[in-house]
Amino acid sequence: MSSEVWFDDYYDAVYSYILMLAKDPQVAEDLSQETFIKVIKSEHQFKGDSLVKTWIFRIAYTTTMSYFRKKNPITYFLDLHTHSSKHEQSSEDIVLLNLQQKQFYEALRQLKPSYQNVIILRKIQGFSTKESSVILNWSEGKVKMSLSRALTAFKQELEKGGVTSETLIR
Amino acid sequence: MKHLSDDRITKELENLIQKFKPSHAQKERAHYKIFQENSYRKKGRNQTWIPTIVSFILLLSIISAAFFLLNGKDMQSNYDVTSDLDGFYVQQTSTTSNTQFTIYFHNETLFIEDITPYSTSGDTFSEEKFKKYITITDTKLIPGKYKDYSVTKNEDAYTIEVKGETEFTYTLTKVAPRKYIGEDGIEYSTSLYLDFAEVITDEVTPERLGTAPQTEHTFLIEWGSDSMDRGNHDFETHEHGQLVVSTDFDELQRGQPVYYHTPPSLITKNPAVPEMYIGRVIGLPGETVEINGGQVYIDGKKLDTFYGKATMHGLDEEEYFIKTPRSAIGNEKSTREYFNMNMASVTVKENAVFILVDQWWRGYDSREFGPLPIEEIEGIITGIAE
Repeated sequence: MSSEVWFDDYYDAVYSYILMLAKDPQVAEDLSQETFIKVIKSEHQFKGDSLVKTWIFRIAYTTTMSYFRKKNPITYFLDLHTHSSKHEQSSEDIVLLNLQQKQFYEALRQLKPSYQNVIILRKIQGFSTKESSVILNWSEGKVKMSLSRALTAFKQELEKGGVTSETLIR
Repeated sequence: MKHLSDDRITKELENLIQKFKPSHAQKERAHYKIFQENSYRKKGRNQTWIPTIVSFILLLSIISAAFFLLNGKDMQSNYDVTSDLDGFYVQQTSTTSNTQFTIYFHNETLFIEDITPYSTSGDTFSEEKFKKYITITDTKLIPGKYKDYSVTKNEDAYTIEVKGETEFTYTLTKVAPRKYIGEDGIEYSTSLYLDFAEVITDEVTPERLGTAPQTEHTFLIEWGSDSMDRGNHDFETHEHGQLVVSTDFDELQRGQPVYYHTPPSLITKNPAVPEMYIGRVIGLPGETVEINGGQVYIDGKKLDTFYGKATMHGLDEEEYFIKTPRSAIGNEKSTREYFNMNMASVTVKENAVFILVDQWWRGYDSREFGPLPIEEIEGIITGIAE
């Protein structure tokens, strides 16, 4: 059964991707499970015109986005970051990070969701521009453009947090 | 301060993913949930139509309950029409039943009669013999004379409830203006229309003229004709004295006696008619007046007042033929015709009124010259001079 193989291969990646976006382990777990249930249900619809991982991530992306849309429609449509939410957990509650990782993650969280998405997909999950464009249903040009803008914004956020090339631990 | 290089950032970010990976236990749990509970979940999904249907039924019942609550008042509008039915008469017309009922309300008494052959032909043709040949339809209607009864109306259904020694209820349903069907299927017809709403009454106008004070707006007239006679030489000066006419009036009311200029057309036709005449306001501006069978109808509604029907000395057809000796009735046929006179409908224009005298065969009025313009009215007759 290919879906079980896919689960073994890609569950970690999907979970980490969703956790970074959702910032809540419980939500991430639920959404990851939902993603894989959808994968199993629509297994026969997978045409093989993209990598399996890309296809699964496309499902993970839409699942996560529809969760955000239901949870907070206004911030979703305005593409705002939701760090002001009272119920949001601090990074310590999510995962144990060292100081530098924490600084990076906190900076990432300050970005608006579309920037977070493109950085996570391109830089963290290691998808190509083309694959990212399939997952996000954007044009490749938009992916490239968003990535460069996202990285610039990310650097600014890091510097706001006091991270410079001098403080960076190798 | 040196800015961060993209390579460094990329490297750090790549490291970040390791921290976000699920633990082994988490993955096991997820695996279990996805692959074990999947079948269970599917079952659950298939039953999603149950709450849909349940809520739909609930919605329907709420709507229907609301509907009945809102319309409940109209549906239970049983009102008592016992007194309105006085004089109402229906006769059985259907031959499916071997009875021959008549139902008649008169003087607060209900008469139910069955004029089937067996009930009239005496000993030689008894009921038992009759029943041998023909089966009698079961009916709740018991022939007799009842004083203690009531009739309630619910839309087109009239329920007669008889109390006392013989107790029964019987429902007549109106299926056409003059056709009724009993609850046992027997059909009846009547020559009367039962439309209680379609009646115009007048509680204000007195039948006999009272005395009236004189003011600066009044003047006195003498009247010698019996055109307004209602059995008491009404309005006639030689019996009661002069009449008080008031020029101070705002709006004419139905039933109001008025003093007016006789239209010239009438005088040319009959020079004996006085220049000033008396009549009673019957139709107001905009109304349609019709006389049918000696009865005045205003806009199709019966004018149920003492001046709304053909009378002779104040008596209507029935009373006249009871009270008047045979010898005094000159020509019964023409008298009957008078009591059942007809007049095609006339629509009263603005600023005009339809005038009738009280004793139709003794005077001229709008039947002759049509609606009278209001400016021709000199004044209203308020009463007899004190």
